[in-house]
Amino acid sequence: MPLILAVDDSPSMRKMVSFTLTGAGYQVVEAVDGVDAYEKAQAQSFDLVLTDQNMPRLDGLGLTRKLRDHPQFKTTPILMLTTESSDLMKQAGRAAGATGWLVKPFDPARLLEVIKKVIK
Amino acid sequence: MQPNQTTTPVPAVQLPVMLVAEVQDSLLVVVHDLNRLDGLLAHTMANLMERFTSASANLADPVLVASKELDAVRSALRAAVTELQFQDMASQLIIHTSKILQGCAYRLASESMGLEDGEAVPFVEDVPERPNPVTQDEMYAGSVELF
Repeated sequence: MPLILAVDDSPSMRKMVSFTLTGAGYQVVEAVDGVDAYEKAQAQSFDLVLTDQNMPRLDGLGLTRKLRDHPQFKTTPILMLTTESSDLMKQAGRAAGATGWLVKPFDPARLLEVIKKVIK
Repeated sequence: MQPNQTTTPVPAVQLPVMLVAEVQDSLLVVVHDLNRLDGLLAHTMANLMERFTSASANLADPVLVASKELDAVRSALRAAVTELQFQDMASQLIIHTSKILQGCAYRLASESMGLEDGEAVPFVEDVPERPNPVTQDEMYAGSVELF
């Protein structure tokens, strides 16, 4: 089963994302911020990264840039899941190398649909 | 005669010190209350999560998995995932708003009253310049855009 790295500083959001993904058969590793996520990404490979934007220490855009610099994550789908909905932020996400931009709150069925679409 | 030149900037609108103090106090009370609200939401959410996890685990019991009668319950639980994201959004909204109010309170005081002799300059977090990250008014699912 595909392995997904779910990154969010909010425990309730991590729980909701994990509930949705594991219920659909995905394996999930949780990270509490960008730094934690990057450390976990260096230790193992993931099929998809789903990350929040506003987090302490390292935000989602910073994490995306760092992962794209990492040879193992050049083509891994990275989805931003955030409250941010401005075009400016979306453009920054695209420039950083994100695969897509999902605005919170997410609908479980729609999230699974998008993941199925982008995951290889 | 030349107007009196001073080295300290004079506020365009002079406010009585007592008024400034009262406004600053009120702003700080609101900030304190918003922090309490954030705490209440976090506590509520933790309890809700516990019950949500417990209900999900019970429904996953092998004895109940095949039960068609419980499909509606499972479906309702899945649908609740969208609404259960309210705390993350509310918390971001509250924290951002608190920072703005706190910045206003300190700025109002420092620009109107200045510091007394020997008083240390308090650490004041700047008023956030960026707009609030949460613009949603309702808990409908947000947009999806693939690049």
